[in-house]
Amino acid sequence: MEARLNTAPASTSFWQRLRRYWFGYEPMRHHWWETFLMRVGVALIVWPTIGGTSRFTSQPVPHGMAAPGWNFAAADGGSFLTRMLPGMDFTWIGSEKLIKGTLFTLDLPGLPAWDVTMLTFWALSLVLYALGVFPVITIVPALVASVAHGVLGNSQGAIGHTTQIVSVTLLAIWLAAVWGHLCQAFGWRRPHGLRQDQMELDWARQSVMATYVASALTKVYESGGNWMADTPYFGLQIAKSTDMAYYTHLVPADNAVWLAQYFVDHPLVAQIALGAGLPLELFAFFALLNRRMALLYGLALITFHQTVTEVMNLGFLYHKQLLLVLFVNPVFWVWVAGDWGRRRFGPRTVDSGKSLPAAESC
Amino acid sequence: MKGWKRRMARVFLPMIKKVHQWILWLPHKVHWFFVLLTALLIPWLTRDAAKPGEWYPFSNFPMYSSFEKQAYYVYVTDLEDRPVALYPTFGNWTSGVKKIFDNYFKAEAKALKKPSKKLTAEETRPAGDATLKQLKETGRYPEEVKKYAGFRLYKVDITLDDHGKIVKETSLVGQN
Repeated sequence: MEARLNTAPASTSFWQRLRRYWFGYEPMRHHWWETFLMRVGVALIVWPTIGGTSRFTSQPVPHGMAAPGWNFAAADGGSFLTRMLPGMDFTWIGSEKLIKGTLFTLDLPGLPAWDVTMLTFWALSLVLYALGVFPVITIVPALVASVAHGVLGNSQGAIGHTTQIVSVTLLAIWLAAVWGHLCQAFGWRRPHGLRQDQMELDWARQSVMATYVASALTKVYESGGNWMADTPYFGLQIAKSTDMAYYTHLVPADNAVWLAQYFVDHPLVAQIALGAGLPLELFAFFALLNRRMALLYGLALITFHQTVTEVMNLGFLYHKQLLLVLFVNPVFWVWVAGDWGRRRFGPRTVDSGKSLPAAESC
Repeated sequence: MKGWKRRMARVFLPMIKKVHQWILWLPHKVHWFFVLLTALLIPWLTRDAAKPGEWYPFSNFPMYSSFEKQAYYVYVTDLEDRPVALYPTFGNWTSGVKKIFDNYFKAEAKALKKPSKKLTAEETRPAGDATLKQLKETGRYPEEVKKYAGFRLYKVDITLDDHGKIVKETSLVGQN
């Protein structure tokens, strides 16, 4: 980092350098070990969302692909699309027999017999993805399982958003894998000359940040531009979520319930405290610019989610985990710090010029 | 006429070219594609659905997109008004039960051609009964459900009184 600043032309002002440092676009060219660790991280985040049967076994209020016409039907009067797109049955994801039942028994000589289930295939899918083995194919079972769980869950008459970000991330990774192979097949240049694995993580990051920007745009649109002004009424939502948390398990919530009345009594504090969330979401695409911004935004959004968790009892677990793996990327920064420490305090060696300092890649 | 067309072409063609160049230049195209898809296209395609903007795995994330001067939630009790833990009994969170009720509640308001906020507890009753019926029929743990002779659904309205204090009002809206 220091080297970059020192090598800038003498004519560039401090502000220009500052702007370039934070807002300059530098595609994230991850090292192979980074992409491997990030893929392992993504696989570990995905597994708890697909590693079992669904809690639901029926579709009382079909949603999305489960609905006739896929919920688009009304747009054309419910005729053509309803015929073209019959609702799909996702109840199979709730079947213990199908998901956890033995498909066949693998009995290899010298090894204990192994009951292979649908879950075995999904676990294998994630392991192969983490190892970078042909993700165009290997990630598909995990993607299908993730979407099936989500659509069935949302077909109970209540829309949940807990795992949406996981499914979107898997979809983006798969799309990047497909696009990367098309680039290879037709000799097209990959965006910014990224490697296949780097592009998959880049598209995953782009899709994650799109959820934040879309959320902010919805806030602006739905509130008629009054979102900031109405934030004191957020106190009512805190009171609501506190009580709701209690009735789930009949255990009193340990959130900051005092904030409910406080926000109503101190509207300016509410506007400042909550208002910060809107620009953070609206400009989330800045996180895609370079590693520094990714780190800054990743930490800011994790803090934002953690605050909501403390106040509202809403988990955002997968959001936080994906932000940690894809944006904060702590292993890389530990490596940068270690490299800096080695160069600063370690024994001096003659630089062959072949290896770049870690700071050069951030 | 020809001159008019030529003038229009002189104005618009460079504009179209500029837009094209801008699209080519635009970084993070996948990001903006997902933003357009989730914030504009999906909400438009699902505009007549019960939950516009929601199409798993895409969502425009309408939660907390506007704050009103009132909020509500629902909870379930047994027939002696003792609260029932929702997750161990039905495999559903309070938020999920509230959303199920909300669907029936809004449908009821639509049928009665009244704003949902103006429905009385009596008018809300079909929505509450239907919610309990669905919970009993589709609950994850039927053996837990069978332990109860029946259930009641209560709706708690949260508002501000004249002094700006948060107040709650509970009403019975369903029994099954």
